[in-house]
Amino acid sequence: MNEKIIKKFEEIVGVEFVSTRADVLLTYSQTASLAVEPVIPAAVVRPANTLEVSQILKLANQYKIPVTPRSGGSSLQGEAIPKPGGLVVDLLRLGGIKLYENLRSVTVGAGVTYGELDKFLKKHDLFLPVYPESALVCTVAGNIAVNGAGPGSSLFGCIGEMVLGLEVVLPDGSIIQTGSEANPNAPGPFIRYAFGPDITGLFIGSLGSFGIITKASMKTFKRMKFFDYNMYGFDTAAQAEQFLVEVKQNDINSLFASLYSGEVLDLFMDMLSEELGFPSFEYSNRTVSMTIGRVREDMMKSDAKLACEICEKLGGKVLGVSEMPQQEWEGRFWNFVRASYAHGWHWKILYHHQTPTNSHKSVDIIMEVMDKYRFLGHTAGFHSGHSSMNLYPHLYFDPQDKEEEKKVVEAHKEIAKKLFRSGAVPFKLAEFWKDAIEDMDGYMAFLRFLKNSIDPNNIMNLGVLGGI
Amino acid sequence: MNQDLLELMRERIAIGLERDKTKEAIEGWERTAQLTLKEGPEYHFIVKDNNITVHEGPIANPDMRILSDEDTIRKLFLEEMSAISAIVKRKLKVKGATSDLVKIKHIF
Repeated sequence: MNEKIIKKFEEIVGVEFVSTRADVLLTYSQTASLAVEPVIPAAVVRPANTLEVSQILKLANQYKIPVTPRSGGSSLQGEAIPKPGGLVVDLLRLGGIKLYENLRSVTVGAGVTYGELDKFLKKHDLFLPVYPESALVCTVAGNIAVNGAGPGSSLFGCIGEMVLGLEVVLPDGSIIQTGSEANPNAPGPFIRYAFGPDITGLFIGSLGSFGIITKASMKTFKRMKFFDYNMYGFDTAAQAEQFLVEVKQNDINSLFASLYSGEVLDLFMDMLSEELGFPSFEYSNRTVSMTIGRVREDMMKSDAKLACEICEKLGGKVLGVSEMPQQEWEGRFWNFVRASYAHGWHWKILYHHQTPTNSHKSVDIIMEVMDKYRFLGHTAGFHSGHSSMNLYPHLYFDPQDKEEEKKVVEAHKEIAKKLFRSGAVPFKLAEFWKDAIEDMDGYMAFLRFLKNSIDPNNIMNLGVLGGI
Repeated sequence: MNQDLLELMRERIAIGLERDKTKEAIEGWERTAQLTLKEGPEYHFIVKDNNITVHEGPIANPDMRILSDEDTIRKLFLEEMSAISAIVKRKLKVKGATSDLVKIKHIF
């Protein structure tokens, strides 16, 4: 990128918000995606508002500069790794929170983190009930671009389910508003499905390939204050999976329900239980750790009682251990960071969705491949919506051991293929899924058509969305 | 003076083999593991016929490779440190399958 172009970016955002300094570029070369090779960009720009983002993309289009949008940098699957010679657009300066109390919605700028929003909403006795476990640094808009999930998703689904509308700057610099706010006379965000097809949905999970989300309008809910934390042990995977189905069928407000296989939980707890203050207890073959949340105490107690009854009816055992689910819920802003980064491991992940009754297939595939390639790792999952489980392996490797890293990369590819064949679907259509997806030529061709139509110069996050 | 490491490992393995959890973990299990100490010495373990034996020197094509130092191995066998704790503190490196690790944590 030559000086003339840098100068033009400086004219848009101001000299202090453009950088080509080596130390700054190094910072932007990597995200939390530890298993993805860092790439040093040519420059970083930090716009203050939507108009500046628009001008930046117009310029990038003119000079065909690859653009990588970035906010909190907490994405795990390489979504915000720059391109060589490319431009990183850091969106953290796009702040602002506007509450529409009567519409039960809130609009946030692309730079607003979950932590900042939660602090704001708490004052109004409200919350946005889906939290990625990196929520202190993760921005809401960035999370929408990857359609994230986490604590709260067991009841409310992925973050996409919470979106009422988006303001998006398209690759050519034009600005569009989706949802009810597309009508300039609307009192605010109150319905997403307005004005024809779900254009909002086009950008949810788009991994920044179709444009830059500059504002997001979200549903808000009355903040829950009554919680029940418990663990439920089962001898078989089928019992545990049926338990999760019946929790849903009986409208038990399970905010976060995690499913662990016994041996993995045992290993995991050995690594972290002391640090997290968990008691030692006998793990079952399958253990569900569940937080029930309600706005009224009587409802919470009723749900908790019913959950115990269902567990016992299925032959399970109510473990009466509250520390783990309580920590999962109360630590929802930083749990993942503590669990995954605390001990300096590098790892590859492969988030995907399975049905609750197919969860064991993911566990079996992951354990089988980890055993075949002989490295350390673990797997677990959580209920992520109406009838889905978000499952993942953590495939650990020592970054200084290239042979081990190579094995993990190979195993990762094999797991992706086997998961797809088992009926799983990607949580995020990250680049590595492209080799695993089979017999979906028509769909992938349509996705390519969309990409080429919206971004004919291919400047936005090229290759990130399923390799497109 | 410290007890000879090989002697210590044999003594502690014999004690461990009396435990139900260890017996359960190795029942019908056949594995070899090579322990390489940072100080240089190498040892290998053979789990076979519901027994664990330890020998000096390397073994060809071990199922698991364990890298550590003498102090850590002593602590592991004296149960002053858990295998997982040693792994996360990077004092012990195990190259092998997760399912094997889950088993060996019941052996140490």
